Amino acid sequence: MNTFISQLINGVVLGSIYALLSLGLTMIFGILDIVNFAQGELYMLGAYVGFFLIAVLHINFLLALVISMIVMGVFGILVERFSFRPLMGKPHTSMILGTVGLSIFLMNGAILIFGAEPRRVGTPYSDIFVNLGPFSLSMQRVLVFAVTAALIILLTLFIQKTKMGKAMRACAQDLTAARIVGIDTNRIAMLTCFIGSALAAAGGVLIAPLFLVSPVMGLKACLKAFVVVILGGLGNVPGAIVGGFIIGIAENLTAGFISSEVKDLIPFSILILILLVKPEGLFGKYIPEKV
Amino acid sequence: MMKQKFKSAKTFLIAASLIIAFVIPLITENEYYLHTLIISGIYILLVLGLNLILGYAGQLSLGHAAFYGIGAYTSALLMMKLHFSFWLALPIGGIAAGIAGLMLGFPALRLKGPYLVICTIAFGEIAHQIFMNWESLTRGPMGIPGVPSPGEFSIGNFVIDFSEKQVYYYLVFIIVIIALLLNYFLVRSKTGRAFVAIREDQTAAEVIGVNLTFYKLTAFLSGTFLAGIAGSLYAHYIGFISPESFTLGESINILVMVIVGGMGTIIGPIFGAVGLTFLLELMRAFADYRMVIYGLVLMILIVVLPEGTMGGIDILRRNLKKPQKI
Amino acid sequence: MKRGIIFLLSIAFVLSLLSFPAFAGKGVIKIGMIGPMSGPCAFQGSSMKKAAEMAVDEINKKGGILGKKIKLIIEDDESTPVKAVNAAQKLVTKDQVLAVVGHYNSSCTLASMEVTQRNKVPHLCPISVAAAITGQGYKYIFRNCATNPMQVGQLADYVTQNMGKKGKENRVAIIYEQTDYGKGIMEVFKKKVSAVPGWKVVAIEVYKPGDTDMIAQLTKIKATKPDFMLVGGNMTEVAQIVRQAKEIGLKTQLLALGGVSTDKFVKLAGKENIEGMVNTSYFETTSKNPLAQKFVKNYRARYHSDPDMFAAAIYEAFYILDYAIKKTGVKYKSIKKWRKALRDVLANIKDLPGVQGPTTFGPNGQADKKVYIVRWENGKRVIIYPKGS
Repeated sequence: MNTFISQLINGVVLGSIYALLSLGLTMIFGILDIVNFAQGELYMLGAYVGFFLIAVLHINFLLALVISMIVMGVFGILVERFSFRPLMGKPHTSMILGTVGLSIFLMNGAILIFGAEPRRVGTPYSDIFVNLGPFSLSMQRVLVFAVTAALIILLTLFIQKTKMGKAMRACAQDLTAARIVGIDTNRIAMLTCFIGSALAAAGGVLIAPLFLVSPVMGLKACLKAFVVVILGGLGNVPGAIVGGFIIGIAENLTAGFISSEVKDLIPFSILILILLVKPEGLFGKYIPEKV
Repeated sequence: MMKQKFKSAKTFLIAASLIIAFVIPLITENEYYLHTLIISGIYILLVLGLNLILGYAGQLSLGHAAFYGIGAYTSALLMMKLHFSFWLALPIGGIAAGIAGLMLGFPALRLKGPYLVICTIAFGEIAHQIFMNWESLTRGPMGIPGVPSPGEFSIGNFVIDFSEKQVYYYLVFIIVIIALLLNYFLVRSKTGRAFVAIREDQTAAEVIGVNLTFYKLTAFLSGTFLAGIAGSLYAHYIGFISPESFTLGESINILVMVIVGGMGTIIGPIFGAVGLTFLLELMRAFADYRMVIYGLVLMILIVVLPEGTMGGIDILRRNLKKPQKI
Repeated sequence: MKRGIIFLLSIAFVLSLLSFPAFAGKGVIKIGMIGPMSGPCAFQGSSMKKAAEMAVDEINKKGGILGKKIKLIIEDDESTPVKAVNAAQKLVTKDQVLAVVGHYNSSCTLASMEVTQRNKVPHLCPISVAAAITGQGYKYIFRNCATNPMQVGQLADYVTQNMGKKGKENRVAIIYEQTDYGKGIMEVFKKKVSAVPGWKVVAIEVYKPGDTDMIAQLTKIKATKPDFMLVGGNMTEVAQIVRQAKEIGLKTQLLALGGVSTDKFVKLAGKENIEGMVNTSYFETTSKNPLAQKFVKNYRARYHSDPDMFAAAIYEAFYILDYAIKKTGVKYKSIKKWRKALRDVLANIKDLPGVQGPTTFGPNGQADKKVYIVRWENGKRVIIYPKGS
């Protein structure tokens, strides 16, 4: 039972990161209709910004988190302008390849600039322990969940309660119609990419002290994010959140009870199952093909 | 008159390239050159296969490396554990990959757009995980060293040793020619036309009576069979295989060759495979910058020249633009 | 416009096909070295590079070998077997090297051996420890360091003879890297320890190189309450494991192999976390061997840091090549013949002095070498066996 709970807790921590990463992915698809294969690289760059701020400039962790989010948010806007906009309206094949190219470019650029060697990011939170009954958890892990929860709440409030958020929801529903009623879709596109990138960056900075920061960390994370997004429904925000936790927990429980070798098999098998049975995801709606 | 001239120029070019390709190993001893040509040949098979699936039938598959790997592992293990002859292991490797291709084909039938792509990626990842984790069979990440070459044969006084690069080149060459011919006939046949119909507009094709299931599965089967053959050739040439060679990155590599070379034609894959293999080898000196440039080129090419350099059919520019939803 | 682009690309294509390099200059001796210049073992690779460059510079300053300078060509295998194979192919066919030195990771050596052995190129392996490297009867492979069974065996012997608690069951957990290196460690240690009465292996877990999350495995190990935990892997991952073990409150006597015997490891793992850890070591700067002391002194002067065991091993390998190539003499028309002659000289080397002790290659190309056992005290390694070294 103890193992179960330990693994469950670890799963929640991991799930938080997946949720953050997937939120951006799903929002970008929902509003821009673009499947961003480079989402993992935004996460990775966010982690590097965090590394630079914390390990080199010795800035406080939470402050570094905020700065990284802002920096990467701006970067996200640049990506939208130079990478996504030329791809809009093009068929899916082109769009996918375009973002794949971006992903290769960013990942290998990072290898060139930062070097391929993994880096350690130390924070004082890794050495403080929190006790929940018989389980002890480093403060850093608790922070991951806490910050994620806070960001999710903020995001939900933003989408539901503010005017901008309403505009975003309109664009997600129907981009052309939104443009007709006077919404500046370009601005919404930029905002979406800002948020999506900032969330990914947050994921990167939060996870950095737990694992190591390296240019290839985005790849694997991105694949898992795809699984989450399909599970939750492409374009579906609550789906991405719930999906993130489901996958994180499933992975860790598998590692704990079956073996750590097959833990990566689980998310992909879930994916194929979903695609066979309910491709629109747990929360998605079925959109019939128009002839 | 112009068209006539163009056609005979084309035939001349084809004949000339064939002759040059045949003669190369006889006039050079440069092992590095031969090595790169052999690798290019293997990639031609891979690209031809993906071209059938994507360029002709319009199904974007980012899991192609999985079938490459299945062919490689099947063939290697058959020779090493069950002592099959290479000449049996090779086709069985292809068949194994083909069957796996059917397994991907079935779920793929109902999916379109990003859902299809993600499904193929997941399939590729699962295959990769199996290569990595089924240690008792594949030795996992350590890979399988010591994969035997097809062997040595003597005809009278003449010895043919397949571990020699010159000999292996001819093996690959012959198989590539066969594959190209089969490809050519397939494309000209009723099946080929059905592929194009599906690619251009799936719903319309269905309406006019094209059996989607049959043709999509055929595309997957043929394309992955070729990948399996390529895998076997690779394994017995290099002598070592590991899961690292069969990742999403490799699938992307092959896809780029299809795109750059030109989809929906026969010469496109050749151009893409050989050109990119040589280009990447040459850029080895700039290894650090190579992949960065690669990514940049991909991004630019997609926007500027979407049907590839030798693309014969305007498959991307026309028709598949998103319909306005007013 | 489109026609134009296609035309230009075709020209580029044809040019690229024709511009392939032919044979190389005759006035140099080319030696290739392959190691992890990037990836999880990049640090070890850079040690290899430093030592190789120092050795080659020294030899070249003294006039080279037989009047020819050595040209060192370094390739990156990224600790990946496939890249190792590609690098070996390039060195052997394109650069036409006389010999290959490498790699760091056993899986890489095993893979690239296929290329060097098929092409009959002498291949010196100074660091990889998997037994199979010199266990397959290949004729062109030579190893100047102890194998996994040798070093793990020594560690197991020391631990069971000196570190156990009498009268109670000594529980051992093993967590290893899923490579030929790690697997070899696990198998030998498990076999040796299980054969000693009063000792039991209670947990075996595995991870992949490059993994950063070993929490699940460590949690499982913690539940079995081990007295000892052997970590069979390379520096970066072992450091992660040491830290994560502390994070989840796993307290046990840590054991490891030669791969962690470097100063960089202290930085990665944290001084306090490795206090009391015991591991094997192939080279220590405190060694009393006069060649070793000279090497340490020169290395410090050149690089302002201490050489680790990987540097020492590579340095020794290059000097073995220096000696052997000198003995083959100059007059070789083809690189194939020269490689064969070099191979024959190497096979007959007996008691050649080196920074890691004397080298004699056995019939399989394996040299007989002994390792140290060290313990970490306050961030520094203390040799506890053999005493007085």
